[in-house]
Amino acid sequence: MPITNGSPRFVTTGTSAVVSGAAIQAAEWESMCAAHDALAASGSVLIPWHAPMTSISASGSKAYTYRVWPKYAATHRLWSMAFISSTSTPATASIALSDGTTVGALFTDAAPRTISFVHQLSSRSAAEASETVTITLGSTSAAKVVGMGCWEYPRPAIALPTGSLPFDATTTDMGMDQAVARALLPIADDYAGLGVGYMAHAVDSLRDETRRTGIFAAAPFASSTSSTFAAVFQAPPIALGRFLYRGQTSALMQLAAYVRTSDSSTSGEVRFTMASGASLTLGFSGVTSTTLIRGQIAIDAEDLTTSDGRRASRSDTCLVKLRRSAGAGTAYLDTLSAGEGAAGASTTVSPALGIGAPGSKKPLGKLPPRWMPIRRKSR
Amino acid sequence: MSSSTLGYYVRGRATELVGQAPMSTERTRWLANNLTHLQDEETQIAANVCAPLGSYFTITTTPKASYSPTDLAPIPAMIRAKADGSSTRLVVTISAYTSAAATVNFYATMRPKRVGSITGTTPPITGSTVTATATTTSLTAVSVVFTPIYVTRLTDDWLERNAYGLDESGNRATVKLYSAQVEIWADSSSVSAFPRFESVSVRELWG
Repeated sequence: MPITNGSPRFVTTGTSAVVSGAAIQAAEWESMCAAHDALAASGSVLIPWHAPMTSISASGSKAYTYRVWPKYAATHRLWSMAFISSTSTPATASIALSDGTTVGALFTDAAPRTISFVHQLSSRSAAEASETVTITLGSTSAAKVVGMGCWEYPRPAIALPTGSLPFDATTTDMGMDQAVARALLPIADDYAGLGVGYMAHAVDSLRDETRRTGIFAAAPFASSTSSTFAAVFQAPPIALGRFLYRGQTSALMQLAAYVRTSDSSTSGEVRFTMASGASLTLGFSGVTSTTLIRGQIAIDAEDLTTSDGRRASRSDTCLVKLRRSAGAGTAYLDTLSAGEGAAGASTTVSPALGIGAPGSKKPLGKLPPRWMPIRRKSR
Repeated sequence: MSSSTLGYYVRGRATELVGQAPMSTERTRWLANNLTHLQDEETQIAANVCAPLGSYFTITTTPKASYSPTDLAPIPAMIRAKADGSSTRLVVTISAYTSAAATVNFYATMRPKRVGSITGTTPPITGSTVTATATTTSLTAVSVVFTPIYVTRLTDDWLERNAYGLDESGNRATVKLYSAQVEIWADSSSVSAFPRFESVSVRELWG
C-alpha cells in the first residue's frame, strides 16, 4: 500500500548500503519507495500569500483572477484570505470560486482576520488554468482584502499508476507498491509501482511534480495614462527557482498578467526586469475585457551551498512596470501570477557518470571517486 | 546545504532501465541521489507581499523600545518535517527602513498557525515561537534578510487543522500537514521614528 503522507521523509542514500557485488536489499528499495511517494504526494503553494490591499464597499464585489500551474496529484486546495472590516459592525462576505463553489465568511475587526476553507476539486488536472475568486460583501460594512493565498494539500496516499510505461504523471498517480517492495524485488522493466524501470521513470517525472507551482502573485489593479513606465509596487517581489542540474545558475519563471484597456484604440505594456539581468515586455492592445498575456523569464536558481539558498548574495527581485504605449485611454494591470511551469523530460546523459546506452558500444565512463565500487574480499 | 550525495540531479536515460537491462549499484545510487536532491528542491515559496505604490507597512502603536505588532496580516506558511523532527527552514526577507534617524529592529516570528487577529502588544513568546532579529538605521528601503527560522522539534501544535485529501482509493482521509504563521514585529530607539517595510518574502528552505 502506498505511503500515508505525514511521515518524516528520509532517504537512505544507498551509497553506503549499495555496494558492488552485493544484492540490492529490499529494505533499501522500500526506503526509496517511501521517499518517492512522499514527494509525489506532497502539497504545494499554488498562489503565494500576497496583500491585494483592495477596498470593497458594502454590498460591492471584487473579482481576482490568477493563473495557476497545478499538479495532477492535488485533490484539495486550502484558500486563505485576510480581511479588515471598516467598522465594528460584523461584516459578511460571500466567496465564490471558478467552479461555482461558494462559502460564507463573517468578520469584524480593525485588525486583519484570516478565514480559511478547504475546497475539493471537482476534477484533477495538471493543465495551466485560471482561477477566479469573487468576493461579495453584505450590506452592513465595507472591508479591505489584506491577504490572499492558496495551497494544494498533500495526498494522504498516492495510488499506483494505470496503464504501462511510460506513465504520464499529468494524467495518472504514480505511487510505489511498498508492501511488495519489502519482499524479493523482481528486476522487471514495466512492473507497475515496483520495477526498476518504473522507479527510474517515476523519479524522472518527479522533477515536474516537485516544482514551485507559485513564485509570486499580486492583485495591484494598477492603471496608467502615461507613456513612461512606472513601477507597480513600492518594492518588488523576489523570485528564486529550483536548482536541478550541475552547473545550473538560472531557472525559468512563467509569467501571466490579466490586463485590459479602456477602449479599443489604447495599448499598454507590462515590463518585468529581474535583478539578475533578464527583462521581458508584454504588450496588449484594444482589449476592453480582461485578457491574459503570457511569457517567461530567467531567474536565479537556488544555491544549496549558501546558508539561505540565495545565489550571488542577492535577492532576485522582479521589478514590474506599466505604461500606456498608445492611444488616449487607460491601460490596466489587474493581477499577476508567476510560477514554475513543467520542465519536461530530459534525456541528456549526465557527463558525470558517462552512462552508455544499452546495446551500444560506448563504454561506461570513469566513475567519480566517491562512487568507486567496493570490492568484497573473497571468502 | 545539500542532502544528496552529489548536490544535483543526475540526468540519465530512464529507458536504460527497461528491457531486462541489468541493475547496477551505480544506477541505484543515482536514483537515491536524485530522490534526495528533489526532496531538497521541493521547497515552496510561501509569500511575496508587496505594498502598493506609495504605501508601506508599519507598527500599530507609538514607537517604543519593545516589540510592537505591525499592520501586516499574519502570513501562513507550509512547513515540512525533516527526519530529525525539526521543520524546514523559512527564509524571511523584508525591504525596510526607519522614518527618522534611529535604530529600528525587526523581528520575524514563527508560531503555530491560528485563525484570528493579532492581539496585544507583548511579543508572542511561547515555547513554540521562534524569532529572528534584523536591524537597520537606513532612511531608505534596504533589503534585510533574516537568519532562517525553524522549529527544532515539531509537535502536534503545528499541525494544520482540518487537512484532508483523497487516498489511493478515492476516499477522504486526513493528512498530516504542518503549517506556521509568520509575523513581523518591530521596535525603535526613538519615539519619533517608525519602523517601516515595503515588502515581505517568505521562502521555504530544506536546510
